[in-house]
Order: sequence, then structure tokens, then C-alpha cells
Amino acid sequence: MRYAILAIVAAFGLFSVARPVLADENKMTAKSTVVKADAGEKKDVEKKDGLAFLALERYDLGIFTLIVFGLLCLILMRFAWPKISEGLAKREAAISGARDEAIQARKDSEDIREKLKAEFAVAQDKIRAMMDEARRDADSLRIKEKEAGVAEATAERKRALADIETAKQQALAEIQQQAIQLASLMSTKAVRRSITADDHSRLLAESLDELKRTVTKA
Amino acid sequence: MLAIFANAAPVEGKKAIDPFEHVVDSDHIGIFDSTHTAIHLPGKLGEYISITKFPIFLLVAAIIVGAAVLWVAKKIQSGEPPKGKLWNLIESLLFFVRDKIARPGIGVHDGDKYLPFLSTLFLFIFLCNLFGMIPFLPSPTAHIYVTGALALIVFGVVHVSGIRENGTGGYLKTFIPHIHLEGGPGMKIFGYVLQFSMAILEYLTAFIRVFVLAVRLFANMLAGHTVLFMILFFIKLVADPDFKIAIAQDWMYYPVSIFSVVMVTALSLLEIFIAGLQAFVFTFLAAIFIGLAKHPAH
Repeated sequence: MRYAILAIVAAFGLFSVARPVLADENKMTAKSTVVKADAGEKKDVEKKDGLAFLALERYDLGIFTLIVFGLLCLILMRFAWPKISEGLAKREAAISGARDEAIQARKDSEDIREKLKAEFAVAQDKIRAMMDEARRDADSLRIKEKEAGVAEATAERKRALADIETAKQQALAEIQQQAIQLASLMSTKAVRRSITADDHSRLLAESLDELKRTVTKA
Repeated sequence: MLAIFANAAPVEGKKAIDPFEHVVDSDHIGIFDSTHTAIHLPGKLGEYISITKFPIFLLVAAIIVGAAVLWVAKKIQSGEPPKGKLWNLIESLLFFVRDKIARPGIGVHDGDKYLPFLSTLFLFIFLCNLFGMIPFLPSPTAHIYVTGALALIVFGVVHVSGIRENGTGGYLKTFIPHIHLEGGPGMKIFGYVLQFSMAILEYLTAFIRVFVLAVRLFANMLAGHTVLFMILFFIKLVADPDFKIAIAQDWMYYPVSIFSVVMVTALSLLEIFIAGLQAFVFTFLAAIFIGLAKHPAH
């Protein structure tokens, strides 16, 4: 829009400057023919100039055109077009070669991709198999460990029970021994007399029975 | 509008308007009327040779086309892809002729054979047409003998191609239509008369086509540039005392000037398009005529 306004202003400026020149032009030497006042002469001029713009007498232009264009055609056909044809053939070959190379490269890359795909599939299978094997190993190990743990725990329990039984027998023997001594002491104090060995044995047996009953009840 | 001014009776004492003065051939190249300067050319040399605007610019066009195509040929010969604006421009023009004119008009195989001729024809006409769009320069294709000579070359190429393809007798027979009418002797005679008449028309068409080819290009170029001149000349018709028409008023100068300049600018753009279009039409019709001569439809 700004340029359009500038152009219009410039055009106005140009016309303002040009106008006086145009107005003064009649003072200068004009090439155009001045129409004669005589009507007869004017008619002759018009008649003669009716088709003058066609310049039908200029046969030389046609001949010149034939020569120039003919020579141009001959020169180009002789010196330019063989080179153009050669260049286009080279370019076609280059394009064709590049195309073939591209097709080959594409084929190669497809082959490599297929190969990689196959290798990947094999690797996947291997991984899957390894995983399965590891899982199986882990399962069997877990079961084995579990069984070993259970066996160990059972053995430990048995050992503990045996220890308990031993300790129990030991404790009972000690208790029995202390009970005999205690009973002897008590009975001595109670009857204030000396007792025979038979009494001791009898009393001890009674005390043990009593003790067993008490322990059993407990 | 052109006719009104061209045929308008000049007022006594006023200069006559010559709308073709700037379009037709002359022995000088005018540089603005108001400056009264011109490049003077030798003009007529002897009886047969004239060094005027048109021959000079025909030669310039031939030199430019020749130099451009030779240059691009050398570039193409390397087999490298096109680089640079000029190389691309010229090569695209050559391939435009191949892909849009030669091959559709003649066929892929034969079209390539005629490509040197058709591309030279197209570029030569296009450049001659474009010269007219450069200020002060003429368009040599605005002369009937220039276009006539080009059409004559096309005529020669068309018929020589037809004869080489079909033989002289065979080619001449291609102009005779096949007419088969059912019926009695009357119908057969009528068929022969019809065939004979149409054959005459076909033979005449071979010449008329080329004549039309020449006139179309010449008329378009002449008329286009003349219209541009006349629209610009409106300014003189309202402002210049030498050419001022009776109805002109002083206030008309500015609106008429603006109108003329805007119109001439718009029409100049159209004229550039027409320069290319006419070169295309001329070359395309030449290709079609060659194609028809080589591979007649009947």
C-alpha cells in the first residue's frame, strides 16, 4: 500500500514535470507529418498510408529471418544438441546407476534387517530358555532348601527332645538323690532316732513314689 | 477504441497520429519522444539490404538463443545436474518444450527427434516477442514477413516429415478422406464428389494452417504493442497541443494520465504473458502439424 501511494505520488510528480515539455514540443523539430490543409493532398496521404504499417515491400525481412533462423537451427543442431543428448544420456545413466545403487542398498539393508531380526529372535529364544532354566533351577533349589531346612529342623527337634529327656532324667536323678537326703534328714529329725538301712530304703521308696505322683500330677 | 483514434480525421494543422510508428520497423530506435533522441541505424543499404530495427533484433535474438543453448549444452554435456539460476532457467525451457510441446504433439520417440527444431523455434520467437516489452526495443515478430518466414520453415518441416514418413504418394493420399456411402450409383457419385471436395479443402488447409500460424503471431504482437502505445497516447490526446482532441479539457490530464499508466502497467504484464503464450501456441501447433503429417488420422 505504501509503495502504491509512493508510485502514485511519483507519477503525479512526473506528469507535472512532463506536461510543460509536452506543451512545448510543438516548438521543437517534430518528426511527425503535419496534415496538409488541402483536402486532396490529405486524401492521397491516407490512401497511401492505409496498409503502410504492414511494410509489405520489406521482403528482405522474410529472407533475413529464413537465413538467421535457418543458420541458428543448423548451428544448434550441429554443435549444441549432440552435446545435450550426450549429457542427457550421461545424466540418465548416472540417475539410473544411482537408482540401481539405491535399490541394491535398500535390498542389502533389508537383508541385514532380516538377518538381525532372525538373530534377535534366536537371542530372544535363548533368553527365554535361560530364563526358564533359571526359574526351574530356582524352584528346585527352593524346594531342596526347604526340604533340607525341614530335615534339619526335624533333626534339631529330635536332638532337642533327646537333650530334654536326658536333662529330665538327670534332673530326676538329682531330685531323687536330694530327696533321699532330705527325707533322711527329715526323718532323723522327726523320729529322733537312728534308723536302719532298711528303713532308709523303705522310706526312700515311699518318698520316690510320692514324688513321682506329684511330678506326674504337675 | 484503437480504430477511433487511428481513423479519426486529424484536425487541420495538428500532427497525424501514427499508432504503429513505435511498433513497425524503422531505421532508428527512439528514446522517449520528449527527448527527441534516437539511435540511428544505417537503414537501406543498396536495393536488397536494409539494416533496420527488425533485422538487428532478429540477429540479436538468434545470437542470444544460440549463445545460451551452446553454453547450456556444454554444461549439460558434463552429465552433472543443473546448478545456478541461468542453467536451470534455460534447461527448464528446453525441457518445457520437450515435455509440453514436442512429446504431446508428436509422440515420445518422434518428439525427441524434433526437439532441436522446436526448442529453437520456441526460444527464438519467445525472445523476439519479449524484446517488445523492453522499453525502446522492437518486437521483430510484429512483422508478417518475419512470422511468415518462420511459418514457411514450419511448412517445410511438416511436409518433408510427412513425405519421409509416408512416401510422396502415400502422404498426398493422407489428405483424401475415406468416405463410404451405402446405396445406389447416385449415392456413390455423391460420395466421390464429397471426397473430392473434402480433399481439395484438406490440401488448402495445409497452406491455410501455416498462413494462420503466421498471421496469429504477427497480429498478436502488433496489436498488443499498438494498444499499449495508444493507451499511453491518451495523455498526449488531452495534454499535448499538437495532438489535443476537441473534447479534451485541462482537468482531464491527471485522471487520464493515471488511468493510462495503470492500464499500461497491467496490460504490459498481460503482454509478457502473451509473449510466452504466442511462442507456445506457434510451436505447439507446429508440433501438432508435424505429428499429423507423420501419423495421419485417416
